[in-house]
Amino acid sequence: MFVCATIVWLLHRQLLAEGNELLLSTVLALLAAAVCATHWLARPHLATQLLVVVFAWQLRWFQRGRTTTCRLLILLPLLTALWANLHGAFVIAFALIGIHWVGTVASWVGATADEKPAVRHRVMVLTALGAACLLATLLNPNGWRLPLRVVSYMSSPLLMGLAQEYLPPNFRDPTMLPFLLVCVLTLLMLVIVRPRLNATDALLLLAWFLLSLRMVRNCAAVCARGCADPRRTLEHAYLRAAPPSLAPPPLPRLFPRVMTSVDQMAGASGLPMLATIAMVLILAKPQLFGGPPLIRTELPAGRFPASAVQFLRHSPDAVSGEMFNEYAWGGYLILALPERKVFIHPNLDAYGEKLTRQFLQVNNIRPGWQDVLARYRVGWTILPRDHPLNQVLARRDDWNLVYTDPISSIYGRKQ
Amino acid sequence: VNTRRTLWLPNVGSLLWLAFFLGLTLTQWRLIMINADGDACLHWRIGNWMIDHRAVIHADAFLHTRAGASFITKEWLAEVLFAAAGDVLDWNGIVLLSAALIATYLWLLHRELLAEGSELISSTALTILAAMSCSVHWLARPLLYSHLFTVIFTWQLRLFDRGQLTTRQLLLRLAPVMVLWVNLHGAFFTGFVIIATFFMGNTIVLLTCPRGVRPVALKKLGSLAAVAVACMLATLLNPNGWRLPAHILEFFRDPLLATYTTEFRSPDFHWNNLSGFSIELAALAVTLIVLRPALSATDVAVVGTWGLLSLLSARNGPVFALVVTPILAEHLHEALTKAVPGRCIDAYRRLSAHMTVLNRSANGWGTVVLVSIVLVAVMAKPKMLGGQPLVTSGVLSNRFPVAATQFVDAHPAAVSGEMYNTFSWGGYLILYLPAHKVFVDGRNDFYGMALIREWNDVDQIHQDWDAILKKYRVGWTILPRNHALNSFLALRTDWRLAYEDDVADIYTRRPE
Repeated sequence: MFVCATIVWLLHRQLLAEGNELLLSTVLALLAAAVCATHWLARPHLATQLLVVVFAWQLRWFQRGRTTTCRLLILLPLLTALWANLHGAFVIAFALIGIHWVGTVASWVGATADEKPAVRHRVMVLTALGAACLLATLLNPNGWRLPLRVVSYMSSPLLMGLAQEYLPPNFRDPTMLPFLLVCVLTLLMLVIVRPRLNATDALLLLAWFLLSLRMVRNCAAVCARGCADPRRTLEHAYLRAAPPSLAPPPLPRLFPRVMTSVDQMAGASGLPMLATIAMVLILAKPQLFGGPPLIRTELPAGRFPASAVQFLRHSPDAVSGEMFNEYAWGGYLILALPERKVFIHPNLDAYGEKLTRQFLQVNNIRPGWQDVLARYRVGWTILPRDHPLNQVLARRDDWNLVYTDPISSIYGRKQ
Repeated sequence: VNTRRTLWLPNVGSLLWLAFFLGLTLTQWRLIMINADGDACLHWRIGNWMIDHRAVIHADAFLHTRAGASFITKEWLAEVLFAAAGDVLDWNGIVLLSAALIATYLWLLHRELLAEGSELISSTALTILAAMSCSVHWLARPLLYSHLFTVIFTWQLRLFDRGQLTTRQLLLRLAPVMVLWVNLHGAFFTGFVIIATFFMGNTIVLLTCPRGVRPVALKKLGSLAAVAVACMLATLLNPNGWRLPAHILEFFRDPLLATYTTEFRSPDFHWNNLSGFSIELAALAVTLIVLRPALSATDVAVVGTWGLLSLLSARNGPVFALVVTPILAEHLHEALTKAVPGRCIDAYRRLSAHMTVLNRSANGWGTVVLVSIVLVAVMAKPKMLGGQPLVTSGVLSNRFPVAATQFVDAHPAAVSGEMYNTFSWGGYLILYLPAHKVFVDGRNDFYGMALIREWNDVDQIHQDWDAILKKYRVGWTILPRNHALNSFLALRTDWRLAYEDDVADIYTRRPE
């Protein structure tokens, strides 16, 4: 949650630093938070959301001449090196740099003779930045093989089709409502305010909108990357550009000013720090002071085969050979049963298409499924109770039911 | 321009019609149109039933799970037309009818764009873009009629919105079209959504316009309300009366609808066949960002509503393209008119002006009719002259269980009891195995989600699978070869494999 809070805080700071009005910046940062919340999971991709905000901010400032070339060329490659070691979606950095590069090149067309040297300089800096960031991605334990692996993973429709987050957004899902709201707001902004976007902002808006339609995980990136111009334009629409018939009444005009004044007076940055320390103390109470925890954080019992795992711990001899497991349980089983190795886990890029196909062959009981189990010397399965394979194994003479509960069933191969 | 050319040279609109008609009929599209799933077969069979009985169907005759149950057909007239075409020219007839419908609604869209004053080249390009978006639903189904009526409704309402059509004219045009729509396809609600978007836009105008203009805006709203009421009354003119709209509303209220029906789900932008829709969305975004058009309130309502609906359900993608294309064309034309002269713009304008003159002088409908007649004659060759067909259309034997149904036909004693089948083969089996009733077909609005859940429980081999099969006295299954249930039944001593090939397996229950 610390990272999530930092993402929203940074985005809010960016909006304010770019001169946006306080109330609108807060509302928009909260809206972006609502969109990002669909991916607020305890996973490394939170680092990507954080770094997307930082990258987008720095690139925008460079575009506006508010940061130096030197600072950009030092900070962003360093962050890329960090990103490459934190999460595999570091390729987003190149998408952001690429869009800024194309946007800057496009701005050459409309630039005056006086502006052209500056545009040329920006193109050269962005080119150097792209190269430096590319080199920075090599600073990881796998060297050049990591970027290659990521690209190869992203070009596999099979692997991308299996992971939920790579699927297109399901707009019927209520969790997608904030993103829909962002789309509607953007549309309204474009048709009512009709902002004059520069080439880079236009490309950013278009590219990330289309990318978010292809993959649900990009919806968060759209909001986290902080395209501040549309927000600024909304503010203009609200405070200045609205026609007389739609002009806000005096109170709403006054309210943002009062808020801004109060915000400028407030300087108690110690309070959030104090609250953070208090929260850490509360969460760490069993380790620091002993006794039962004040706030309990556990994996939900109805979601993972916790009882089956307990059974296996108490009766390790109940099964032998290798495991065939439910795809979504792979990570849990690795953690909860460290003495056993799983058949598959959601890090699909680790083992590629071949094993994924073999997993699907067994999981969907396609002809040849027994051969796959035999090849990997699978001696037992742990699957959701309603899984079709359980029904099949129950009818086979060479398998028997070892354990069952409302969540999962374990079948073992007879010796 | 040589005026003699007008006798044989079709104008661009006619050429578009001919290109789509020929392209869909003579390429692989004709196979895609009838092989996407079993629904083309289903509609043909239901239409045939109505032709044979000379009555509209009111009770089911094809499912053993709902035998004799009251059935509200949403598209009886379209099914009769499809069946008539199929009876005359076999699958070639259905392909010709579908291709003619697609070509006609795209031709109408092109005509609309030109009639609204858009320039020829951009109108043609945008029509082709709309065609790409619609191609995801170029299937031999009654849905094509909805696309046709969507174009007509949008065109007439835009004319009315611009003051080029009186209330009376609008009423006289849309109400009869709605009568046709309600008898041809269940998506006639699309017409009401289109009217509602225009109503919404005009409400915004009423709320924001100067006081002096309000009576005019109010009158416009009243006219739109009257049209909506007239269309609503028109929907009652169908064999099922008020029960048809009520039935469709009930169907849409089911939360499981999108779970089990692919076309009602959000669009999957990983599919290649949705690339046209993606390009249409991108074109709209580029227009809004780059051209910064001053859209009217109605245009905003149309774009917003249909944009949202097309993201909620993939089947709304083509409708989005058909209603948004005129808006795109209008503002693209405006931008081209206002563009600062330059080498490219001047060359484009010269080409456009030359093409427009040529297009106006071209009146070669005779050529289009002649080519169409030749094509129909080619497609109808076996019926007219006998012998082998020159162009073959039919169900693909690697997609449907063609050999398996032939086996069942040839060995009727090989199976007994009722059938359990896969969802997408239902229509095919209804048409090609008329002696047997199926478990499910594509009409999930008819038999409801309760049966779909039972079907799914068997399909996914849930605990109650056998109880469900016994409840419906299922004695045999016909499923794709890779289906998990086949692997499961192979292990059971009370079932045995009766037939197998590369496409399908048939398992039968052993007598107890």
